[in-house]
Amino acid sequence: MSTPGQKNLLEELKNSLTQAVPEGKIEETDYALTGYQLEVRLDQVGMRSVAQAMKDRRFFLETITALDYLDYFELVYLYSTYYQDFCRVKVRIRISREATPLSIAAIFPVAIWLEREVYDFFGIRFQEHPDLKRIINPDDVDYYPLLKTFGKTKFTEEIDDILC
Amino acid sequence: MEVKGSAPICLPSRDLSSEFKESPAVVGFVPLQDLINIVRVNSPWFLTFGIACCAIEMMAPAMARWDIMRFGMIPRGTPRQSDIMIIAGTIPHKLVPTIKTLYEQMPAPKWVIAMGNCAISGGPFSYEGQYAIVNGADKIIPVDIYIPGCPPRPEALIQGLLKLQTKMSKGLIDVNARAEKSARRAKK
Amino acid sequence: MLNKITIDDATVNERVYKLNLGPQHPSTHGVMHFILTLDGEVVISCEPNIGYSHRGHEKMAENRIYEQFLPNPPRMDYLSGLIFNYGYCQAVERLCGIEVPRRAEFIRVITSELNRLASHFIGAMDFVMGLGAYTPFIYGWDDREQILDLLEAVAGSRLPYSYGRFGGVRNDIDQAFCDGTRRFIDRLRKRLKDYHDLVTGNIIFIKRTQNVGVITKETALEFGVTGPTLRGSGIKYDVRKHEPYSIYPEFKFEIPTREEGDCLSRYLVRMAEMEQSLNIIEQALDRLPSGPIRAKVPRFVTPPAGECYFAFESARGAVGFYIVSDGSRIPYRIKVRAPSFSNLYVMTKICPGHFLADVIAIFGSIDVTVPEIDR
Repeated sequence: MSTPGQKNLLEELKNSLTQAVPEGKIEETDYALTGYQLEVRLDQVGMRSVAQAMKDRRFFLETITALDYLDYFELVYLYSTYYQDFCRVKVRIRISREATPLSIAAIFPVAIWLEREVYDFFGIRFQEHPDLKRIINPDDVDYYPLLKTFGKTKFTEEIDDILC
Repeated sequence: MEVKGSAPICLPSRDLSSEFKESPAVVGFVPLQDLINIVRVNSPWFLTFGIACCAIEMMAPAMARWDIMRFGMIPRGTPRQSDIMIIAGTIPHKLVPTIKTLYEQMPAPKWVIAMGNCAISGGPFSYEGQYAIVNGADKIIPVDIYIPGCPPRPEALIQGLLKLQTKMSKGLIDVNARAEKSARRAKK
Repeated sequence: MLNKITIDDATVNERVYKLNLGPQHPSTHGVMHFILTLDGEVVISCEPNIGYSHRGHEKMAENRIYEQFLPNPPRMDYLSGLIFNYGYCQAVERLCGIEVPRRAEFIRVITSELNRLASHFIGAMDFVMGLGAYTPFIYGWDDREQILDLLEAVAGSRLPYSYGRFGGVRNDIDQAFCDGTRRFIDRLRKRLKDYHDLVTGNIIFIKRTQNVGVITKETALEFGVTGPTLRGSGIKYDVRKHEPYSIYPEFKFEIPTREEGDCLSRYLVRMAEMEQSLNIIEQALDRLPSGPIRAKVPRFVTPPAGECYFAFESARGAVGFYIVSDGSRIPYRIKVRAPSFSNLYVMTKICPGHFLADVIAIFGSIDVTVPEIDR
């Protein structure tokens, strides 16, 4: 159920995003199933162009997170808007396990903390980040908790005993 | 000289019992401590160290409905002015030096209450792969009273504080026993 | 005048010192640690140090089946525990395509708004207590205890609720709950005037909060601020109206905003939101339908492989649950977007130039819940 205003906004967004990142795959998704209207898939780079395009259209950065898929990471950025008709954009960037992605802290200052959290939990280092250090875990620990190879997760142990 | 109840924390560091037998002038030392403890029982000021959800249930008894200030229990903001430290909430690793510092800053005699399942043993957050929390406050500092619950009701916290009064006065003041006796009498 | 003060560079090098505010402090609600760089009483920089409430919720989610993770969201933001509980249930329902019966939706809305009221009593009154006024805090707790009595009869708990289930709610509400809620609404409508008499017109309160900690619209956009903190700066953004979920489109309510963006306007927004919540509860009680309270779901829910983001409005701002599923009973990743995380970071931008006492006022007016930041 999208209003004409939303359809216009989606069209304009697709145009500006295609201009900003021509190599990315942009597709519309079903909001009722997924919770976001546009999904942008990128490979290794493009986060800064997308962030600048989103800021020009007055979107705000909702959150940054990462997913650990054993051979590679996926960085997920979610943008949403206060002003116009509602729209949420998800950006997925596939990076390799040793990659150092660029930081968008110069464009959205809240990314300073969000990227510190991703570093703290996944060990992904961001380039040109003003202050990359641990934020939530104590400063002297040497593990990255949310990796699938750390601690007890489905991939490391059989957890049938928790199903009663 | 026998002392009723569990060993108090404020005993002198050496064993003075031989001196009591030999010098009658010192024989009145320990009963005086007992008397002072009865006085301490009536104004136990507690340090509000609320970490997580149990902090709200620690504030609740101090409010108008349960009002523990009528027992003399006043929440204090600084450890230097408090007798009791109530640890309410889960203890992550980053907080352990803070708890130790606060405990050392409290002047003796001091008591510690572990409130809530998380402070007793890690609570709902303790599982085999947990990396972030300490499974209980008694792994860091000595704890006197454990109040289970997630979070414990304000009545449970009041019962725990009154039990601590029993412990502070080494069994001389036992409000809980009197309350149970009168409840039994009322039921009959 | 409590306006921004500028410092010239010559004095900075000689008089600057660092002060620790926290982790244990009677005015920072929860364990919050600020490292303040001060020149006398004036703040030069304010850096929050978080992590003192970290419990590893997101790692726990990878070790629990979806039903076993139900107690965790209410413990993240314990003051809006029921709202988080429903939000997690709705996120999983969106992923699985479960449809919730009408009566359950109405029950969810009524109890959510009661929970929002209870949270605002602490949020607004704790802010006032941080400034030194103890009496409104006790008044607020008295009203909060009445709400907790109502919710306890239905949900079974005072603070961290596990009342919502996938597909509906656990128990039905009865006539006693509806009558009690109506009596409570009438009583609170008269009592809100007492709060305004006691606090809002007080000259000391106004002098301490007016023009203190102004968040401009550009700052709010750059930092991703949401919730009453944002609505105090003039932007009308509320997830219940902007991205409607559940049955909120059927109710008539307004989004109160103020233009100034200082601590006083954030406080006034919270007080006005309480009245709007009362309107919603009344409309919902009038139209409460009968019917089942829970959809038929399998005992262990198995969402199809995919991802889903569900946003809802808690008392602090826009929360989001991002669930990634790989088709099994155990989630692959659950990420929670906490509004207090972004709202707190704004303090690094707006605190410099204010006095030390204003830091407490600004922190209280932003109304964070610390375990939500650290998850």
